[in-house]
Amino acid sequence: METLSSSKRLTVIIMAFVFVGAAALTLFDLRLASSQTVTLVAKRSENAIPLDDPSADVWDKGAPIQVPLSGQNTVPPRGGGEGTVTARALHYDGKLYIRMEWSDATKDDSTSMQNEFTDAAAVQFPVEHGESVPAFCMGNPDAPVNIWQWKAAWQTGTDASVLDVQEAYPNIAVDFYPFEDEPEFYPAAASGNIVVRADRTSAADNLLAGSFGTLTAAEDQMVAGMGAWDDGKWRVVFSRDLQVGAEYAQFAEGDSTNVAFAVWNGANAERDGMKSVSQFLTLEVSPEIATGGGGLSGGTIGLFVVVGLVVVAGLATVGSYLLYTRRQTA
Amino acid sequence: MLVPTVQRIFFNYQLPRLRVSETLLRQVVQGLIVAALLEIVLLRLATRIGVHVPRSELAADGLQAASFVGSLAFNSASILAIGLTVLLLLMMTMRVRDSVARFGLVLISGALMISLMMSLVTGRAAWDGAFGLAATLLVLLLGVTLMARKDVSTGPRAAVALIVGAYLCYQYYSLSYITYRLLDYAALPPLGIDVLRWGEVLVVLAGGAVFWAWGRPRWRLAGRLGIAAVVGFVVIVGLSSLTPSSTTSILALWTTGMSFFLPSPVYLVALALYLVTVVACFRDKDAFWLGAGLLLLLVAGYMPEATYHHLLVILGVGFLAGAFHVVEEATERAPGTISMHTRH
Repeated sequence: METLSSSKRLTVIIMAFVFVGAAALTLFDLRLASSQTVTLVAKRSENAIPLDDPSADVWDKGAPIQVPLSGQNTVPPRGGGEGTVTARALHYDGKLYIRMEWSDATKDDSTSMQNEFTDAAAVQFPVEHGESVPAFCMGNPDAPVNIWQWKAAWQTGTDASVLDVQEAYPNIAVDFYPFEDEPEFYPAAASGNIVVRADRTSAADNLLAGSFGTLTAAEDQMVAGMGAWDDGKWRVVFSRDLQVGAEYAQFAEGDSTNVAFAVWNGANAERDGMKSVSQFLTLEVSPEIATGGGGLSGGTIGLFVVVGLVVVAGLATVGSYLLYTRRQTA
Repeated sequence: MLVPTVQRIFFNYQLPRLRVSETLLRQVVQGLIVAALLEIVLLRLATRIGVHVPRSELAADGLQAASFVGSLAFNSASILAIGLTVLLLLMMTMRVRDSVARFGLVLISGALMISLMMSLVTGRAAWDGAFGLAATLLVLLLGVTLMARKDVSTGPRAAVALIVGAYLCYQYYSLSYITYRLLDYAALPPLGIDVLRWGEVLVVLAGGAVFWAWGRPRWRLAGRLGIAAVVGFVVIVGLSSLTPSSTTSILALWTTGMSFFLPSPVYLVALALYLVTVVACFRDKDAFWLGAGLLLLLVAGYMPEATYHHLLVILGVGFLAGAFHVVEEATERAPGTISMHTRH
């Protein structure tokens, strides 16, 4: 006859073994779990990937994933909402390319007027990939994130088509601007605010953050970005060398890291923290060649998946029924 | 030659009966619950609160210590979850007398454990897929087993059906991508996001169904303190969306995996009903396994991010389905064996 004390003794022994095992794993910075999140796979492209054509055919060879977005509701200013972004990734000639695609009924690519806000998109990676994934909202103080942010207005700016005050407000009356060329009267520019940078060569910025309120432009601006709006959809391509300085996210064939996405809708006056965000997913840089397509259509494959699940459900049901009837007769 | 041997092994062999003390099992499950909650508080919650803490050296050290203990709790919980899953599968296999069902169960169990180990070691998509498929089958099997029982009323059937349905929705989203990847197909699986949203609806409905099934009959057991704690928690979660304080992290914690496309009050009501049921079950000495099952499912979340979370789903649904209760009969109520009386 088992007593409570013997049971407790056994429990203590079991827990001691569990603790020792867990401590050993933790000391080696290991987690006894494998990620089961959806994976964005960046395969090697055999063809060059044109940055200026986000709709290029080469992207058909990259496997897409559809990522659910939700409003950023953790810190003010909150905003954004339900949505979906379709992401594809490829790598070519030592560069990683990521394309985001999402629906947006309006093309908002100007911030020339006070009530205009730009459409934008961003991808986020942990600077150091390890067992501990940073908070998906701008990382942690001890686990920073590397963010690539593209803004439609910046692209307009790099296209040199940004409107000046007189163009945005043609009927505005100004007597005169005192000290028009003095930097003291342009405090944002003088303090290096990335939003008003005049020397922008790319519509995408390379940023670092280690929690809310710490977003900073990185010293090295090496991220290229280009977007195109067509028929109610934005397609934006980001590109960067796989290997760069250690203070930024690193990529290598055969390695995996995490990636998260964010989208701003200018028409909804979204800016800063007012955005739609995703959770962290897995990004794998694969040495395999991206062949895309396949012999079967998407519909056929989908049918296979659905039928497969139905068959499996049927088998499980039959098995359970047999189990049940057997028990009844036993 | 081979066929009769296989038949003898799987169909005719009389498996030894496994005797496990219910007290021991409860204590181990309690250990799992403590570790899982510690992991949530120290690892998931602390990282979110951490971003609001002033960046002093003391705070940084504190967060680092919390992160270490949280990792320790995570690994402890994962080890316990693996061990309990093995035990659950063993018990179920030994209980089943029907040869075909037993063979199927051995197949699924073997696939689950082998793919789990291979996924942990290699991290390859094929093993992730095999693990996901085996976990899905097992959860489905446990759910169907409960629904096929005549002694189970409509409430528990509906609750388990919604929980299992939500899990299947997420697994469809997740596994369809793995399938496409293995087939090297560059296209979007059909209805992926739609199914994911349906699953979220099922999660919210499950909150109400769980209360209807198990919370309503015993909600008084939750007591004033229990209900006040639940209401307080839900109010904090609700208010956190209106204030800039660090309590927002609690909201972020609970909404992990949710896209929040339904009105916020719907989620809050569902959470409140679910939590009241958990508290009431834990205060009912005969409903420990229900409380444990519901709590593990809450910890696992709608989108299980890791193998550990899937194991929590298996255990959670297993507890709700009375999987351990079934074993009691197999052991013929021998002294020290499991004695669970789950109220359905």
